[in-house]
Amino acid sequence: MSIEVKNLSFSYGKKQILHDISFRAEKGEFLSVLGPNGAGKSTLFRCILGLLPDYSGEVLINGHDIKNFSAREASRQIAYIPQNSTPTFHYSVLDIVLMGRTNRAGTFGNPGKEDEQASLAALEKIGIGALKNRSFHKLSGGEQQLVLIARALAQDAPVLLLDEPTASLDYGNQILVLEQAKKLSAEGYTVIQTTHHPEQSYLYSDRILALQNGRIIADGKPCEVLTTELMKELYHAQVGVVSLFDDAARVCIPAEFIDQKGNRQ
Amino acid sequence: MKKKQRLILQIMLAVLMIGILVSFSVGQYPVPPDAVVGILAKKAGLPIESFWTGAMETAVWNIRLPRVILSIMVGMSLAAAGGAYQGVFQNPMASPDILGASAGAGFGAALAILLGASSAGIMTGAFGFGMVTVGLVFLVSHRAKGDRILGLVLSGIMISTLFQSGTSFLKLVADPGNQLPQITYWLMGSLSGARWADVGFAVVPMILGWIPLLLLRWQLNVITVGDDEAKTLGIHPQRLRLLIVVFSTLITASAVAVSGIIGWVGLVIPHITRRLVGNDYRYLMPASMMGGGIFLLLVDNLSRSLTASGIPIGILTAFIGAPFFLWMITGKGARDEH
Repeated sequence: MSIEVKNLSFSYGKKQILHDISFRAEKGEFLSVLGPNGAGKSTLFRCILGLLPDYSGEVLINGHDIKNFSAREASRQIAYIPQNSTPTFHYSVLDIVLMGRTNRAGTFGNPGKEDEQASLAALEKIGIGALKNRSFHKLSGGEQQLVLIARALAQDAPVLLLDEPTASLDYGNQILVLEQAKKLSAEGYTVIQTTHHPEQSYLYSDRILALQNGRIIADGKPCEVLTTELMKELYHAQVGVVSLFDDAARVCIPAEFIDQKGNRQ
Repeated sequence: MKKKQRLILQIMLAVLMIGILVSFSVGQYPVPPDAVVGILAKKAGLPIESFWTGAMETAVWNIRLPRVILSIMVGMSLAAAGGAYQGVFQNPMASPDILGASAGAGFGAALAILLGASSAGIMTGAFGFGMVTVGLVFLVSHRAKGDRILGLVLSGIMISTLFQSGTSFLKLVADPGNQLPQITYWLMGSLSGARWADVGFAVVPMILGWIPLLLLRWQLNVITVGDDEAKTLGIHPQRLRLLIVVFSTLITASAVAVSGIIGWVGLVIPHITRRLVGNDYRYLMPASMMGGGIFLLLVDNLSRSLTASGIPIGILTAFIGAPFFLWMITGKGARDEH
């Protein structure tokens, strides 16, 4: 299932946030959107999710304009995994995942046995079946993120949008969540994440999109985008990119530190 | 989990049934339980010889039965509307009067009393003004900028205040000999004058409101994650909020029209019920409705047995309920959720 964004522009009042954004993500692709704070990453997601309908341009799923979908239909195409979820009241993990099945039940219906089984299967798939009766709000940030991924799987949509999935997680949980996302893209899900970690996007994603001031300044393979020149330009910071393990990994380091060691500029 | 919640729902239903039977014997004019059953069976069409007095029959059929039914209906309505509002406003402090249904209905009733209307006129005035007030709030809030929910709630508070001031003004100009006490008593909330006509007035709008609230209970769960996230899960948050407001207002305005302003039930009964069955509206909505019915029935029995004239139930609900709720959140009743 491919997703294509074509000439998308968006303004809040007179302030233009996104300028003529175009890109395409194929089935099974893991795409990272990098960019400084305020670059328009969240706005881009909100446009794709139909939360900001007043954009110009198109968002196409397998060639179909997402604007023609109802909320229910759209939720079967694109699943959103927010940074965190804070329901007003406390729910069990299973109930949270069941909410992903809302698009199966009618407006006046409740989720049924089948939906419950699908939700349990989604939890098992992520490896957190044991959490099903726990209270969602009492879980750690990493566990909550995994539950939200399970909810997206229960939603059964081929495109997954993760909004800074590792932003508030400890290092171990960051790896856990990214491994899961990687695994899902290998299974055929189209995965798009926004992130502030260039190194992680190099390691885990198939492509990187660099967004600055609402414009795409680079779109390509991680080895093409994660360069000293581009990182300097993107973040307006004196940063050096160091290649490790035959370029299997790249690390960003503040440039003055590299200068002191004299290793590389 | 689910088994436990089903069991609690069944226990609540049993308590409600027992409460209904007991209610007939409570009051200044005692009727023996076998006579109660006999009278009800006879009214249902069973061929039973009267072994009771005509006065007993009048007390059971014309006075107590409508009052029992009405107290349950009002309690169910206020608790259902409160629970639903807490969901769609994503706020545990929401109660059915948040959008001005009670303030508008109070004004409508006071105006009707001032104009010398009959009891049917007072009910109609209260119901009509309750509905119109919430409609007004909705229209005004659509012009409010910024956060939608905040705009709605603030509009509700402001327009409620306007109608409350209006009611105060009506009290000022009312005849202190008869109209003023009538308005004051009406605003306190009471079921003591409940008759079949009140039941007849409220039953249709209430049922029309209960059914959609029960049908939308899964969507109520989903909207509590916030509008944006809920929309990506496939629901229409604004449309759901509009539906819930319309149907909740329908039942709140009907409840206020027949019973006056009974505060507290709509805010707190859903919270007590949350502690019993959890926050899943699939169980919470029916449990809140039964809880509201049980609570108002019991409080009304108490109000009836304490004094001959009956303390207005609007006063008693808080007197009994607030200490009970404080006990629930602090003392032995408190327990950690999940």
